[in-house]
Amino acid sequence: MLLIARAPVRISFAGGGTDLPAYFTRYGGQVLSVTLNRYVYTILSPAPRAAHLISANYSLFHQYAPDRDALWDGNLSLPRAILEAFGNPGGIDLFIAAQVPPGTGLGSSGSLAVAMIAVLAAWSGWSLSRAEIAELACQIEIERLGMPVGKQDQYAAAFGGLNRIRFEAGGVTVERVPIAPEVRQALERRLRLFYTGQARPSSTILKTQQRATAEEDPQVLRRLHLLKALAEEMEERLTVGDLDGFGRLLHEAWALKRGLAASISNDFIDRCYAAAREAGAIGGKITGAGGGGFLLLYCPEHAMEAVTKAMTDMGLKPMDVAFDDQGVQVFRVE
Amino acid sequence: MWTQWIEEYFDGIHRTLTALPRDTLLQVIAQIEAAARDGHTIFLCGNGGSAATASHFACDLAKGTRRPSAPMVRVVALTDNVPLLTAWANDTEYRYVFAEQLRPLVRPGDLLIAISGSGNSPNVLEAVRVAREAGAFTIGLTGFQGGKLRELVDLCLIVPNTCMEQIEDIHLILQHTITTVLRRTWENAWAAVPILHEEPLPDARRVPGS
Repeated sequence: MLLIARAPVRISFAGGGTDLPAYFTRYGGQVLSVTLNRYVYTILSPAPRAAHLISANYSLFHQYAPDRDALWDGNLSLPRAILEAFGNPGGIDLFIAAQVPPGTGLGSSGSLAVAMIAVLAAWSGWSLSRAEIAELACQIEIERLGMPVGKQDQYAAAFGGLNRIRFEAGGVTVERVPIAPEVRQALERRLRLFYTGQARPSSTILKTQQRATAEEDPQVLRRLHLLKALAEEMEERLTVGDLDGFGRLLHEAWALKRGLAASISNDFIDRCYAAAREAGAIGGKITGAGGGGFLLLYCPEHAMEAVTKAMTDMGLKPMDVAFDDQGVQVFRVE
Repeated sequence: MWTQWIEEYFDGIHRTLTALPRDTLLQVIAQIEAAARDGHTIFLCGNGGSAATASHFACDLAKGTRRPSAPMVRVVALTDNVPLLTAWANDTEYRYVFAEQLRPLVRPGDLLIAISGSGNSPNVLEAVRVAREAGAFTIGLTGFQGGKLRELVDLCLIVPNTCMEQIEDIHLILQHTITTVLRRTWENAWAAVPILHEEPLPDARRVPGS
């Protein structure tokens, strides 16, 4: 028997930062995001004695047994904390693999947490709802490990699809954005991701942002309020099928987001974005907290080729966008 | 004479269907689909022929879309409880028959489909006001120029015709079209599900604070 869980990664269009507890507990936050058909996989197989946790790039390895001290290397604090939450179950091998590189702003650590919790819940016989899986992932990342991350990645990965996710002190609400398949497919065709080759941990940028929010820096707060409002306007453009209007708002949102912290963009990213606009892209942004990772661009179909060429000329690697609609799933193979 | 009147009627239906705004229809279906999948309740109301369409629509949404793994649609026609409807009419005013039924039931994120050929039925307009106050999304199905309903709802599908019988015919065609599209959408969505057997994940569609 094998248990396989997969959870999608996501791109967020606007509102990132308002999902940080420092912000949403006071003002209420919201994010417009969509999950992609790229996944973080966790495969669980029963093992006779000790338990192992292995990541696909072999740099991470963790071995533990109930009666011995754990042996581990690499940076496995998140998987370890999740195993602890399930009481370090023995007699299993866990294998983790992701379809995207970590640290690229697609929220893959939230996806990893969600996939791992889903597979361990299925193994342990815990009956968890999608909301409970997401909330447990948040608790482990934010409270137990003190990571300066928000809650959007975990909820996106657990529910899947194109959603407006609202964050209040009293809880999180996931609302599907109602769009016809025709509009959704057109949006998929007009979005493309470009890998800048620069991976970075989001924690430095998010820590700065968290601190600025907590200290009520008026510039940061004003921008976050505006980004939150933009998320709602962008949703409206999507529901009426005005994709170019959506693209223009994406551009506005990026201009606002860039000003949140100096490290969100850099000279190279700015030059790439300017070249993309020159070639016909309407809007775009760096995915995730910023500082590198993927550049997301919205282009009318006739401009996509020129934009792609401009980006590959600058050394970026294109990745087509297709949405996921299912969120986390667990499969049992007999 | 009769042959000519028959042909004129059929012609009117044909031309109206051709002229019907497809983009608005897509938005209507998308709203119903999202609300149903998120577990929100869909309410319907209307008078006369539109009352019959409201009940018929509720029937088809509830039963006609049912498939093993598709969402079970929560749908209520406010036209079906005759004792309650006549009680509100008798004890208050006829204009409150839908609004007062709706008030204790409607929740944020729910959906009201208000059917009125003229777009001016006072009881339908009152229901829309109550739904909007509660944070529900409102859709109008109308004819003529959309009447007062047009400005009051979030999304208005106006059947481009000025003959009440034909407007009501098209409303019925629309409800069957919507039901069919939803059923096919959910069939396809689940046909694409993997080769492997899915371990059932208990499904919380809307998340209260955990």
